[in-house]
Parts: sequence; structure tokens; C-alpha cells
Amino acid sequence: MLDVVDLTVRRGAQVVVRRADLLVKHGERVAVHGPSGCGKTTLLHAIAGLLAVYTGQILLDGVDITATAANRRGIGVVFQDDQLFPHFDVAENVAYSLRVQGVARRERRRHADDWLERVGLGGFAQRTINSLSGGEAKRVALARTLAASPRVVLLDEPLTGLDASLHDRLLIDLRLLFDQLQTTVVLVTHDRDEGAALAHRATEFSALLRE
Amino acid sequence: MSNRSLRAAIPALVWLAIFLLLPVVVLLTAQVEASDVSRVLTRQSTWRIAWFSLWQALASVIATFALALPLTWFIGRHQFRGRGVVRAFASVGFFLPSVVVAAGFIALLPTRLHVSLAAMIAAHAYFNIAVVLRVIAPRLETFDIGLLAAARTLGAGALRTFTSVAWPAMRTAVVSAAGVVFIYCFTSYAVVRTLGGVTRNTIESDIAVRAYAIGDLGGAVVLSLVQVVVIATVVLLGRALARDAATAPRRTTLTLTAAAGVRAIVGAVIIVVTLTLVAAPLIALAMSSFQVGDTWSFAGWRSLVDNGAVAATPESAPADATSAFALVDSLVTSGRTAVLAAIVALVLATGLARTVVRLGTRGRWLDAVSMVPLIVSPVTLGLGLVVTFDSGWYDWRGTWWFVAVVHSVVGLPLAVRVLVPVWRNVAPSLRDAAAVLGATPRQRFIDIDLRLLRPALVAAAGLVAAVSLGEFGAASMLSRSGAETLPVMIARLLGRTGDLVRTQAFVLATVLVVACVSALLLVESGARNHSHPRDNTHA
Amino acid sequence: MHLPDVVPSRMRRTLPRTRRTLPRTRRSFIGLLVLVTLTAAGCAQDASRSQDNGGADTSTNDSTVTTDAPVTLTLLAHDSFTPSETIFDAFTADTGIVVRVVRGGDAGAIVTKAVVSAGNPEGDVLWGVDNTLLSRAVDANVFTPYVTVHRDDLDAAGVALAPDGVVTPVDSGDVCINYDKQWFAERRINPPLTLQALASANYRNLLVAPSPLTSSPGLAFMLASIAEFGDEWTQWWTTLRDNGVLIVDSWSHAYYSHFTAASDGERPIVVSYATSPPAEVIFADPRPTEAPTAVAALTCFRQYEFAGILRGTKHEAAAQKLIDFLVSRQFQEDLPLTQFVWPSNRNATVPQEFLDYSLRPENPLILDPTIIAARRAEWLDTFSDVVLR
Repeated sequence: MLDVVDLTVRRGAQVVVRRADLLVKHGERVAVHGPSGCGKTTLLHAIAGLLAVYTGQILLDGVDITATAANRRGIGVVFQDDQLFPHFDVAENVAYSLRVQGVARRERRRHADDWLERVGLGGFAQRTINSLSGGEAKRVALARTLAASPRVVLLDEPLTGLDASLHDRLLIDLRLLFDQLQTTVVLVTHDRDEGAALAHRATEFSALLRE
Repeated sequence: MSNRSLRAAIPALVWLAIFLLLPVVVLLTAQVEASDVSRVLTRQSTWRIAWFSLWQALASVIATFALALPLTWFIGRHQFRGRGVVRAFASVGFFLPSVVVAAGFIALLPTRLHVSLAAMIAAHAYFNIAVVLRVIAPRLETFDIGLLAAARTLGAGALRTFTSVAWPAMRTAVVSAAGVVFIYCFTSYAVVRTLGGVTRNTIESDIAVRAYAIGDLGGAVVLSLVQVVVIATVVLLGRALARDAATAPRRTTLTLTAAAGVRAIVGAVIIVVTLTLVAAPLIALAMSSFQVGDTWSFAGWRSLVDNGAVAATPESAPADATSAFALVDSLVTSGRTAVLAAIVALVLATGLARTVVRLGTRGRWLDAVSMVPLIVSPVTLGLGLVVTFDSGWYDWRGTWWFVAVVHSVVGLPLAVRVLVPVWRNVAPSLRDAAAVLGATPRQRFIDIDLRLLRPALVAAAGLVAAVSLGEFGAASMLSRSGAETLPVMIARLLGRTGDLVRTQAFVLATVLVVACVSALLLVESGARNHSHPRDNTHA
Repeated sequence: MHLPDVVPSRMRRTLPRTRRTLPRTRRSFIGLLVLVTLTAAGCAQDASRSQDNGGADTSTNDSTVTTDAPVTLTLLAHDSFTPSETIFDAFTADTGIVVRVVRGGDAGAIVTKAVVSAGNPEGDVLWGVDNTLLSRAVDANVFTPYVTVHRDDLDAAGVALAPDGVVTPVDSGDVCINYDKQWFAERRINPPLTLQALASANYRNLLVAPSPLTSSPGLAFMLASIAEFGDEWTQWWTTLRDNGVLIVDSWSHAYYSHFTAASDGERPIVVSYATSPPAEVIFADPRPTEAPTAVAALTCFRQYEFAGILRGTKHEAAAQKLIDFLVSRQFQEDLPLTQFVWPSNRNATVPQEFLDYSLRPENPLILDPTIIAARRAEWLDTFSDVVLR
């Protein structure tokens, strides 16, 4: 249902993604591997609408969203460095997508609590962002993205930088969560084991590019 | 995209065009004739005044350094408890209105010295301790003393070590500080007028005399131009001198030594002496507000709530007849001018800062434009406004908000200076995260930018308010009779004789000190409340 | 929904609540709110005040008191305007007009303010422009002319200076050299009796004078020297400067901070008014039999003071009534003992003690007002160059 067609993305004068194709079916999880700096994050940001596309198309459920603004695409992103809002507490972070839709506070809290439970952080609602550990922050970022009910979730190096035990724990939890929710996922990572564990299929970034 | 980002800056640019550019243009075109230029430039007193402005500024720089260097050295090289407090306290002079400092010196010094060159230069030094501290101390703090040791082991004597190692490292900072102090003293107005007396004039005070007392507007404008030229020269000179050391490696680690033994004693002496000198005028001011003549009395403070209009009675000497001015009016005037100026400047600066940050390196011209109000002298600006907005529907002379308008122009650069660095630190990816969660651009601005900026916004507002409270040059031109701002009122009271009148001046000055310090505490709390982005190396 | 038990229960910690909002920023907002409220209050006060002034615009040419809101006139004056406290009560009772006195600095300052705000004045009537500054104000079209009903009672010389009633003369005085009699007697030195004498080395470091740039009597004194010496006036001032004259910014500083007879100062010769000696007597307690200071009659420059209606006032008719009152006997008779000036209304009786101790020079120095008008700025410039160095 996510169809990237002949996508070229430039940063300034430099072409970073040259004619990429990617097809992801509904409920499918795809891992994109490649060394750091090859352009996978750029591809992700372009799909999310955070970067302008030079040429090519992005289709979601058959609708061309190439020109749609990032806040209206329904595509969620879990950033590599989480990008949690430091001036909101955990619950407000998680429920941010509901806040922008104008959902009332109590309702938002309920949803936030719900999602925090699901990611294993029940009771973390009032915590400040600064007080979270790496693993906890990642879970909050995940909860925040999922709470927006996106049609596709993009993950940028989700487990990179976590130490071994946290890494494994989070891997298991992510896998279980995605299985349960049947989320459509595109995840980029340089760790092939991670890709194999989380995704249905894996591909090289270079393999996405047309000649 | 660039069109949209410029949009935020438009209100500020329009404001500056109307209330800064237009008055200056009107002054230049309507008031100046070729004969004015030749008349002013060929007159001997012009050069005498320029020369006086120059050498008193230089003398003030030397006096400032003499006063501030010992403390700067000690704070810059040593770690001790209360270091931050000492530094903050020593800097207080900078944030006080010049009229207040002048009043403090009058309260402190014997009558003989009230109008003297010494008092004037001492007051200048008083303000500028903060400049020396804040510019030179950071450089000292990160100075690598290993370099000195290295020079020594290579055979350099003490003097050689200093000239070849220590001085080059400090040169930029010293030149910077000297340049800033010079400009402040060169353009001094309130201090020169109150403590310098009629025979001493800087260019700035002469502009006022020329425009006000003599009615020679053309000459006044020409003098303003002369002043701008001198300032620009000094700034460029400073830049050139500082450029060499731009290649010096920037260190961020502090290399302080603990203060112990002899050093500690020397340091303690320096601190006590310097802080006493800093506190003395303020204490004298506060104490004198409770004295009328030689007797202790609350009369000065009581007259704050009195409504003035006490006529001469046979008992009071004629000079004291005007003893009860309506002080409350000036309190109200200053207060609401400061609040209005802060709000306006804040709104405009937010738009400007946002655009400057958005444009990145392309935004540097905009940044420079926002700094332009700093080079126009407040007296000239006040003059320009009076001359420009003087008829028809735009006759705004004497309106209660006109002074606030000037203050918003004067305060705008300061607000921008506070907001831009903080805004730059707001990671764009935070906005991205908000975007993918569905936030519209407006929501992103409110939820992310404004929220994260809130401490800086408060700080900027406090700074503009403090500047407005203390501003004298423009306010003296634009204030309405009966509704003068506090600094104008204080200067007027100081200009009269009579024990009660003098005490009233001290009372108002004390109030102003408290108000300014409060505004600045706002600034400080804003700076400290700055939220830090999460440190991702936490595991 | 809960995660399956695969997830270790350790992950589901509950933690204590943390404090939510930062009290500091909230406090600063409250502070801001208070200030904004004060601003609003100030605005309201100002609005009501301007309503007082601009509201009742009904009185055009009536002589009866209307039943609308009372008119408040703002009388702008210099800091030395100190009539008796209740002097305007009778006027208000008579006409229903309330007079609000606003003092705006010394004579030079209020004239400058008036010039700068010509056409959009800060008040309705200006008191205190004198003959040395009149040209500046008239050139800037500051006033609306009005010929008072009491015109024929007024001092002819004063009226002649303001033709067509552009302003109305209210009082006059003389700016003269005053000296401390006792100081000179103790040292057995003859006090200076003429301007020429002042240049003598005998009086080195003994004179204090206010600057003509910032003080109206200072300006009068400078004009006196021009009237006396003509084009040689700069030489005389140069000699004075070399003789150690102390120039200060205002008359009150000169008199109350430096004059030996009125302060701890060291200068026994001061530029002041011919009516300063009576002031020294009348305000002293106990009263001396003769004045401690004296006036050098040959150094006097006559100063006429005027009041005028400011152009752009919204209450012209009421302002005219005020002008009439200011030159009426009732008001004029208050002047000698409160402001130490001679009333311009010749029918006003001058108190005996005032006559006893003061002196009205018969031939004071004067300068043609048109010449003053033409050359004042140039003279001030020259003074600044020559003396204020």
C-alpha cells in the first residue's frame, strides 16, 4: 500500500537518493539495510514528507501524496534520536497527535496511559523527558508515533546506540507489538540481524535504486 | 518557502522603517542645509567638543580597566565559593540607568565634587565594570596556563612570557572590551549632563543643547552624523584589531585554580574593595532618600503618595516652594511605558528572530538590520520623531505612547540578540517530529517554538523593560510635561536646589533601582530556566 | 490491553509523580500580569483626563456657566510659578473652570517644549515666556493672540513688546548682579557696581552665573552684557572667564548652592533678581532690619514675563477668561510676595514690605526685541564657544 516510484531526492545540489523504488504491502514489514550515510534516512524523511522530492512519486493506498504536507500524510516516524519534546511530559508527548486534533485533555490522558501500557511503560505518564533512560525514551517515541494511528510507521535505526540487554529486550517488545497491531513498517538499519528479527523481508538500499 | 519566512519579519521591518528610518531621513533632508554642514564643521567648538568626547572616553576606559581588572583577574583565574554572586553584584552598575548612577554619586560625594570631571569619569567606570568582567573573564577562565609553563621552560623571562604568550591570547578580549567601553563613554549623555556641568559636553549632550536650547536643528543633525562616523570608525578598528586572534583555538574547559594562601587573601581584599565601591553609591542613594538636608525623615517617601501642588508658604524658602512635584505620575508613566515597550518589542523581535533563524546564513543581512537602532543616538531619534510626526492625523507628539514607541525601537536589537541564539538551538527535527504527528505549521510554532522559547521571551521582555525604565535621551525629548518618565524627572529634580527636592530625586532613583533590578531578575530567571534538550548518551 | 507475559514485569515499573509546572515562570507571568493591569489602569486614568480636557467643547462664546461637565484648563508654567494655593478658587467659583497647574522645568525648557509641540500643545495656557525667549516662541507660531479686557491697565512697555496681543504681559523683574554685603564689608573690598567693574582682577573667582543656554536669567545677563558693551561683549566675557567666573546650569544652583549669603558656597557675587534682597528679608526668621544682600543697579536687565493661549487648545474661550484673570488685580496682587516679581497691572497694590526692601531700577539695560529675535541663536553659539570651554 506504500508505493515509492522512481524517487529522486536532492540535498542542495547533491543527489542523495537516485531513482528509488519501494513497494510495501499492507501489514508488511520491510527492512532497508545499508552503510551509514548512504541515504536511507533521507529516503525515510522524503517518504514522511519532511524533505522535498526532486522527481518521482509516493503513493499511499493508491493516492499520490508526493505533494501533501507532512502533517497530513498519516505517516509516522520514530526518529533515530527520538525527538521527544523536552517541555512536555511523557503523557503529553505520547498524546501529542491527539492534542493537535483538538482532543480534550482527559481523553488524551486516557489514550496516553493506554499506549504507555502497551509499550511497557505504565505509570510513566508524569515523568519528564530528561529523566528517561535510552530504552525508555525509545519506547515513549514509539508510543507517541503509534498513538497517532499512522498508516505506515517509519523507523530510523530504532535499536542503534542501546546497550546489549536493552537492545534485546526492546527488539522482542517491538516484534511482539508489531505482530499484534499488524502495522505496516519500513525500518532502516545497518544491523542485518535486527532487520531479520523485526521485518518480513529485507533489502539493500542500493538494490532499491534503478540504474 | 523564503517568501513565507520573510513574512514573519515584515511587521518589525515596517515598524523600523516608520519609526527609525523615516525620522532619520526627515532630519537629514528637511533640517540640514549645506550651510549647516560647513558651519558646524568649521566651528572651533565642534572640534573642541569632539576632542573632549574622545579623550574623556579614553580616560574613562583607563579608569574602568583600573577599577575592574584586579577583580576580573581574580574571578577569571580562581575558583572560590560565591564566585557567581560576586560577579553578578559587580556587574550591577551596567544595568542601572545612567541618571540613577549620577544620583548615587551625588548622594555619595561631597558637594564640591558633584560637578567635576572626576565624578564623571568615575561614574563611567562604574557602569562599565560589567563589560570588562563579562568580556575578559571568560577568556581568562579558559586560558591554558600550560602555555606559560612551556614558555618558561624554553627560557622566557616573566615579561617575555607575558608579551609573547599571555597578551596575544588576551588581546582580542581586551580590545573588544575597550572598544565597547569607549563607545558607551563616548556617547554618554545623562552622566555628562548631571555630573559634568555646563562646561563639559560630549557630542551627544551638545546635540541636545543645540536642538533644545539654541534651536539649531540643522547643526544638531550634522553633529549626529559626525558621531555616527566616529562610532563606525571605532567599531571597524576594533574588528580589524580583533581579527588576528580569530584563529586562536576555542577552548571550553575551565582552567581555574583554587584560591589559597596569599592569593586568597589578595583576592579577598580585591573583592571587598571592589564590591564596596560598587555598593557605595547605591547605599548612599538609599540612605539619602531617608534624609532631608541633615535630618532623618520620611518626607521624601511620603511625597510619593502626596499629589503635589503645594504652593509657597511664608515659612518655606522660594526654592523649596516647588517641593512637592507629583511623583506618582512619573512612576505610572515609566511603568506603563516600560510594559508597552517590552510587549511591542517582544512581538516584533519574535517575528524577526524567527526569520533570521529560518534563513540561516542568508539571514545575516536581516540580523544586521535589526541592530541598526543601536547606532542612532537616542537624542537624535527623539528629535527626529518630534520633527516628523508633527501634524495632521500623525501628530503623535505628547501622546502617552510615543515614548514607548521609541523604547521599542531602541530595545528591539536587544530582544533579537536574546532570542536568536536560543531559537537556533531549537532543533528543527523537533518541528519535524511534530509535523509527522499531524501538527500544522501554526501549531508547530505555538507548541514547539514558543514553548521552548518561553524563558528567552521572558528574558527579552525583562531586558527591554529595564532599558526603557532607564532610557533618558529620547525620553527627555518626548516626555510630556506632567507625565515625565522617572529618569527625566530625576534629572529635573537634581537640577533644582532645595533639600526636599533633592531627597525626592533620591527617592525616585531608589525606586528606579529596585524596578530595574527586578526586571533584570526576570531576565536572569529566564536565562536559567532554559530547558535543555535530552542527552541521548544516557543508556 | 496488556502485553503478553513475554515482557518482563520489571518493565512495568510505577514511579512517583514529579512536580509538573515550573513555579518560576508562572511567577514571572503573574508579575507581567500585574504590570499590564497597572498599564491599563494608567491608560484609563489618562483617558479620563483627556476626556476632561476634550470633552466639553461646547463653550465657544458664552459668558454663562453651562450645566455640562466642568472645563479643566491646563496651565503650563515654569518651576518657579508658585502662587498662593487657593488663588484659583475664586476663579473657579466665578466661571466654573478648574485650573490645573503643570510645571515643566525652567522657562527655557517650557518654551522649548511649546515650540516642539506647537499646534498640538500639552496645555491650554502658557505662563512664563519672557522677552528673551519670546521671539523663539512667536516664530514657531506657538500662540493664539488674544487682547485681554484689562489691556489698558497693564504696563505699557510690556504691552508694546507683544503687539496684537500674541501674548499678555503678566509681570516684570530685573536680572541684576547681587552681592553679599557682609562678605565685602568684612574684607573691606568695594563691591562691584557696574558690569565693567566686574572684569577687574579684584573680583577674581568671586562671580557665579547661570548659563544662558539653560537658564532664563542667565540669558538675560548675557543680553545685559551685549546691551552694555555692544560688539565688545565677547572680550568682556573672555576677561570674566580668565577671572574665574563659575558658570552653572541654573539660577537656583547659582543662588542656593554657591552664593555665600544663601548657602555654604564661596561666591559672594551672583546673577539674580532685583527682588532677591527683599526675599532674603521676608523669608528670614527673625527679620533683619536691612537686607543682607544688595543689588548693583547699573547692571540690571529688565525682564518681562508673559502668558499666552497655546495654539491648538480646545478651550479657547475658557483660556481667554483665564488670561483675564491672570492680569486681574486679584491675581496680580498675589505676585510680589509669592514670586517676587512686579505685577504688570498698574492698579495692583504692592505690599509695603516689598516696597521697603526692593529697588526698581529706572534705566535698566534693554535690547530691541527684534535684534534679540534675529541674533539670539548666534549669540548663544558664540557664548558657548568663548565661555564654556
